[in-house]
Amino acid sequence: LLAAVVLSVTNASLISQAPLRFIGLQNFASDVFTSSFLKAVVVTVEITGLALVIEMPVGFGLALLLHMQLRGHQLFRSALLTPLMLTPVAVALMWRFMFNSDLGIIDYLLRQLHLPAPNWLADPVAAVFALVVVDSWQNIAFVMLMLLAGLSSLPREPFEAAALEGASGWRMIRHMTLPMLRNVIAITLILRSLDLLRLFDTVYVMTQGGPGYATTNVGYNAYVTSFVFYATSRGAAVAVAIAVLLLPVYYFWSREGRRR
Amino acid sequence: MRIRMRARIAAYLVLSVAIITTLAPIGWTLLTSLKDRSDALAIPPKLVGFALTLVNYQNVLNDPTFSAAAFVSVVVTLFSTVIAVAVGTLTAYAFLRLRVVGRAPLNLVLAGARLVPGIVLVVPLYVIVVAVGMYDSIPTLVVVYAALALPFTTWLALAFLREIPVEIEEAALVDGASRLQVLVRIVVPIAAPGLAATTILTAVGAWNEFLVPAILSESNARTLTVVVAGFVSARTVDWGSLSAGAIIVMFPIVVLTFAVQRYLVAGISAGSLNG
Repeated sequence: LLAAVVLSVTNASLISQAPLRFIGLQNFASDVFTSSFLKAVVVTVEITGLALVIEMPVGFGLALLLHMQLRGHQLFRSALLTPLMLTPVAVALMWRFMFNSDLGIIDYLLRQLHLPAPNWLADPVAAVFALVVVDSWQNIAFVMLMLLAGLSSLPREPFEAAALEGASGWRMIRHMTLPMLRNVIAITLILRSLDLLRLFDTVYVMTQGGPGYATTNVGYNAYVTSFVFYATSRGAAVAVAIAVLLLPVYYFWSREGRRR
Repeated sequence: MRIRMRARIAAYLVLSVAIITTLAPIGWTLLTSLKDRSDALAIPPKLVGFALTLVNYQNVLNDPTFSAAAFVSVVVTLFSTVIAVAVGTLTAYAFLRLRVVGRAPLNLVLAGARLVPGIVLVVPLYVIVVAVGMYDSIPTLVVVYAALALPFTTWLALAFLREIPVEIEEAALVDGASRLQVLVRIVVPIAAPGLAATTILTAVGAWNEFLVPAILSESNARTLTVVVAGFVSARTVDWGSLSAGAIIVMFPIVVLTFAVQRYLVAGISAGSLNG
């Protein structure tokens, strides 16, 4: 047992920290903060921000609805959870095909409704939205699941009391549910941010970082630097930069963890 | 009462819309995978009235690259999951019950490892693997997957083992059972549902892994995810096969997760909330 513990510790640090530092320090002087990297940071923040703005409220809404425990809510929950575990690569493939501008179902439906049908994956702005849609489709379920777990752990009495005193549903959510779920919401937000900041599979399959560099986020940037341009050392430096950029998020996460 | 009724109907409506948006893309892909080439590309898209065909599945399954990758995916998923869960459980148990040097740091390492993006690890990993001459092999993937999953399995196992009362184990120890016996006969059976959830989450993660095999293997150890992602350039006009490939990759996960959903829900929230 002791050996297993020791092994797991050394294993982890061997793979992550030691080589990371070693390579990183050597190459850090080289231009990490090139314009392409900075652009990638901006893209990453855009994608993350947009996706969170969609996923958090929608996930919360769905969690509230499921928490009403209507007849059949377990069935609804199962159905809504389906995308969560699916292979991101296959999901991206699926959506890439639906987002096709000539033959895809999405543009066909939009045209039927006389709405503008952008050439999703070739338009710099639409491509970002396409990625956000795909990520939301897959991960709203995660937000929903976490908040649902949070909701069901709340005590019932305060809500019954408030209802007796005639508080409206909106007011109860605003002044009771949200503050009480603060911790769960914070953790969900942080986990989702971390996943979104390192989004890679979807970008790789859907847009390959394009058109141009419109969807090249930091993860894809590090990949391209290392394995398309074969500048492994610079890619490593980029990777270290990403890790450093994530430190604030990490800090908040551990602080939340300690408070619990 | 009227308002309650109306709220109820509204809730059902919203949930139904949500479910349609959730399931429609999968349904559409499934339909496409059952169409021949001209029906798959038809405008307007055909929802009904096309000839059902399994030719896409035949194409994909007869593709030697695809079947080889399926084999790699299955082997790597199985072995890495078993290793990661076994080691993770042992580590978690030791961490909880034994006085081991380095307990506090382990906690930190586990928490930290969960938050490091894959790309940050993969770039240096690639350098190491190539330097050691283990590039493009199945054992390499097994070891790397297991190592990357280990913090996660340990973390989850910790969450589940923590709930087992020490008293039961102490009683067994007093009766003369060894530590290992306690672990195998008492702890593991009690924690079985949790460990099952851990196993499935780990297996799904391994099955879905893309970045690691994309970078650490070339031809000998390509996984399904890598091959399917490669369809994008190789089969751009053949959407039927493309959809069939996507469906085949997702199918085991859907079956697995539906079969054990109750445990999974517990697993996901326990793993994330017990920070």
